[in-house]
Amino acid sequence: MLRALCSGASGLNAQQLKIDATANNLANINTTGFKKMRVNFSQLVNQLLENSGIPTEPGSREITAGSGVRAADTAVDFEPGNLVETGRMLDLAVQGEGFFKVIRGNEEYYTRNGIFNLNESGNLVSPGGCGLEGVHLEPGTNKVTITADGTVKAEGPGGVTEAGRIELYKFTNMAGLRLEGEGLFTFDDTTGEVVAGIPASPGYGTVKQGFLETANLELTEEMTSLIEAQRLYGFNALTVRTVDEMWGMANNLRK
Amino acid sequence: MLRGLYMAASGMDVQQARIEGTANNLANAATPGFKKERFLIKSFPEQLLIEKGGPQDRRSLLPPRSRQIGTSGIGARLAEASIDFTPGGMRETGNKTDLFLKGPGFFAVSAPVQGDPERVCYTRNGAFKIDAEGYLATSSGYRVLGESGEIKLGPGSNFKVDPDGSIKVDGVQVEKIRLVEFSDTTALSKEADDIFTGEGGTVENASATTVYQGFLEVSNVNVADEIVDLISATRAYEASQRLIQSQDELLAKAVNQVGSLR
Repeated sequence: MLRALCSGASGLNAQQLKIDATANNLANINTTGFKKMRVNFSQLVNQLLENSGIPTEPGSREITAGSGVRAADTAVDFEPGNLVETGRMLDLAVQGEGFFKVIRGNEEYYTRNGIFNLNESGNLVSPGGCGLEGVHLEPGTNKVTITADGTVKAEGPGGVTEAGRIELYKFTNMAGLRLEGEGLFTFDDTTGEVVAGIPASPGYGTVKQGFLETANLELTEEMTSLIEAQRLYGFNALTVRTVDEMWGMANNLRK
Repeated sequence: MLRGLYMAASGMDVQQARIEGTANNLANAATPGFKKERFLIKSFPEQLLIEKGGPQDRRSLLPPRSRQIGTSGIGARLAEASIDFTPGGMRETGNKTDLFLKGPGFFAVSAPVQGDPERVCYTRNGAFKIDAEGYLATSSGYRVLGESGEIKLGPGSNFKVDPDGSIKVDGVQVEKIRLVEFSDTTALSKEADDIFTGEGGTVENASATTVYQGFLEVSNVNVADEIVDLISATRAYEASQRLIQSQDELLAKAVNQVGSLR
């Protein structure tokens, strides 16, 4: 009986996690470069029943009962989102698989969110204060052109000068990327590698100036999974309630 | 009298097991590739009742045969837990590591245990991922097997899976997923994390199974059926509970009222 209660509770927890993930996905539908999160379920161990006092047929095949569900892993779905044109000079998007590398303090992060601003020292920084590596603009620059291969050209009083190159990064194992919030990922996989590359070379994708990547969500998909998770939450709550009623009956055996 | 008490108690026990099965099915209603379980309940073999007690002289005079009263059931027990291998529906996810099996086959996964590092298990949950070392693995971390061992996919891993299970990277076949079928699925038993062990079963290379990339098999649990089961098991449990209460009342009468002196 306790097992049925635990199965119900495990179902509640698992569906709760899915609702949390879906709610977070939906909340970020307008976040640039957002990657949706999905939750994978898998079943818990099957346990032998005969240890629990339930009459079984002697000598028959071992009878086992499952003990619920668990969220096996939460995975970030790295499918690319759509690119939308913004026309803003310092909005960047990657068409393809690569990531930008940004630095804040001593920490290195990887991101697909390409909204950058020029700060007072001539670096490109994200609204969260992370600086883009490899680009430095001289004071007085009034136009920046970034080509598909990541070359940054600055137009200032002294004519057109090259102001650096944006590199893109890819990973031997995307599953090793950990979401840190603000659309920033860290890579701390002990066996995987980060490989830097020049945009437009195979596997990295190209840099598009004046574009931003939208979240890779589909509203209908998220809403369907929200409905599904909510209903299954209800069913598991029913299991818990039923077990509670049955325990009440067992408790009332002796009037 | 006490026999009736134990019969009713066995009724409560098996209904409790049914609830456990239903609870597990409902909890896994969203687990990809999950196969529901059913408990088969049987009655215990009937027992011959023989008269005991009664007037002493009658017993000694009559032949033994006439002292038999007849047979009686002595309650319920679990006979077996069967796994229902009906295929579940197909759901599009668009994820390249999600694989759906059409047909009766299974994916083979490597599930080493202590003492048997080469153990092979089977699953229909195709929600795979690329693990830390670049191998194709289930969401719980068991590596998926190809025709020549574990499947390693390189960086970027822009692979495509053909219906016959061939994995192609940039149009070049690198590996073929090992798909197996069982002539007798009753040989399969469940283990944790959606994997089945097939000890004693005959494994054949799949001939009637095709793979679809970007889809998942949904669990074959029908929630309406499960809720009906939940209701019927609860009510049967309740009925057994009432029986125990009645037996208790009868016993109380026998103990307190039969032969009371006033």
